[in-house]
Amino acid sequence: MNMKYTYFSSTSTLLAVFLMGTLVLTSCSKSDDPQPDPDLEPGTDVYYKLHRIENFAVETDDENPTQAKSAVLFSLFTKEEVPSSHAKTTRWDISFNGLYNSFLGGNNGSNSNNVAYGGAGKGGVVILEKEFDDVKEIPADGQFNAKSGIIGTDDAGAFGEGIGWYLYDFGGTILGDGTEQKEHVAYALGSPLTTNAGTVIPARTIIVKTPKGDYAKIKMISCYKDAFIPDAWFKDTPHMFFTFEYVIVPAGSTQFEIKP
Amino acid sequence: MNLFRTNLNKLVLLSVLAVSCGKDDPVRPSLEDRKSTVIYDLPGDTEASMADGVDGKDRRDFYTFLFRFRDKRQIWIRTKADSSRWLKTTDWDIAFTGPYNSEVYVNNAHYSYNPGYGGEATGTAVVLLHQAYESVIEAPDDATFDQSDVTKIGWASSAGSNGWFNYSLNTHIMQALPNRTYAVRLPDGKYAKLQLINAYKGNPPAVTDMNWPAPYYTFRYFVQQDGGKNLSTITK
Repeated sequence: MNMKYTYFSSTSTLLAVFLMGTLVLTSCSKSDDPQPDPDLEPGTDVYYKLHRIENFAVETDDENPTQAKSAVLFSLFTKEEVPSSHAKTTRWDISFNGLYNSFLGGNNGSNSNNVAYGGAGKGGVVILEKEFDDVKEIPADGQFNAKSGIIGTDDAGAFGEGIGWYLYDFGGTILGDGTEQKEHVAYALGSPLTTNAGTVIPARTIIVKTPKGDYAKIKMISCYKDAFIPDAWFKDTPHMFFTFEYVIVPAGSTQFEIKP
Repeated sequence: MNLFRTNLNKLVLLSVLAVSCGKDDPVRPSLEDRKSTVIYDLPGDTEASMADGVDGKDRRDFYTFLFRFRDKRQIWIRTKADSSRWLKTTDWDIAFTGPYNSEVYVNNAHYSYNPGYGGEATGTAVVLLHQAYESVIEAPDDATFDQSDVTKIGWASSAGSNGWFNYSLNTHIMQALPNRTYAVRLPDGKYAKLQLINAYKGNPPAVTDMNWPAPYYTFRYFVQQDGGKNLSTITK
């Protein structure tokens, strides 16, 4: 974003004026349908359905991926990124933190290690070694972790931190064919994978308690652009573009269900 | 010409030594406290490399090695026979696994990625304490050990992580995080504290060269032999 602004302002004033004109027009046409910063109430039509998000892009900096970056916030209800200025609101459900924004967490205002700290959110996340379709029961509230940035690399791969949603194949030898292009590949574990050594790594499913107390289960499918199967993932495949599927059920539910 | 070069090299080496001697003493406190065991520069799998074309190194995964506190024994796991001889026993305390042997597991039977999975070390646990090594004077209570979510002492992707080091994918340099001491309940039930200090040869305070010899582990630990929880290593 910043780059664009610099570019426009420095190239041509005329262009800038022109753009400004468009912007004004755009905002005019928007204000016809006034929405004074609504605190979105989840529409009931969001529940009990299978949703799919493809190629949700987060800023990526291959030059300096380990520098702490601000969390990217996402609403499972609006299917959009939520600006970080709203971090302490309950308008978002999951955050992407840390290295390559690849570590997930929930929205919890009472945990000092959560980006929502100070807010009203009472959410959290937990990851299960179980296939998405097989996850029916909602875990007990005590099992949800309230910290941000806690579900990421899996211990089945390099630099794992517990059970994670992706396996980092540092040397390209765990799941890859050992070629250079298969080094440093992050394998989403939405489906079970078999390592070169013959070990089957069960699929992982993330369970989210939303800040308002609803529950979602998430299947992480890929972090590579337009590439949804392991054979299509290489070191240089554009990343991070998260593709995932999820189902939300309302607060008080005990089971995940999809209803027609 | 050659002769001159050799002499020059020696000269440079000498002055480096002199500088490091002069600098070391006042700035860096000794790791020794007369109670702890300090291991300096324990070589990890220095023959392995993650990339092609590194002189003298094979491009393959790093071999795991085990370490036993009581006699400082290093045990390599290179073959299937090594695995079956050692992994499921209580004859080792910690395992150095993963890239550059940087990910340390305490022998444990219950966690599926632990090298000791399915073995005899059923009562072990690790607790991360955000304290300097010398200021840890007591092991936490057993409930804290039982509830700990530390599965491994490895990479720390964020401040909230349990790991012992930062790894920059930019510089490819590992750096130990300060004030991270691990209280450990060992396979024999004794309590210990452990600090991982460095993966680079000579325990340099800061490494700027990604080709600095590695992995060579410097770490220290103290095991309370009487079975109690006193982990104080302060000596007068």
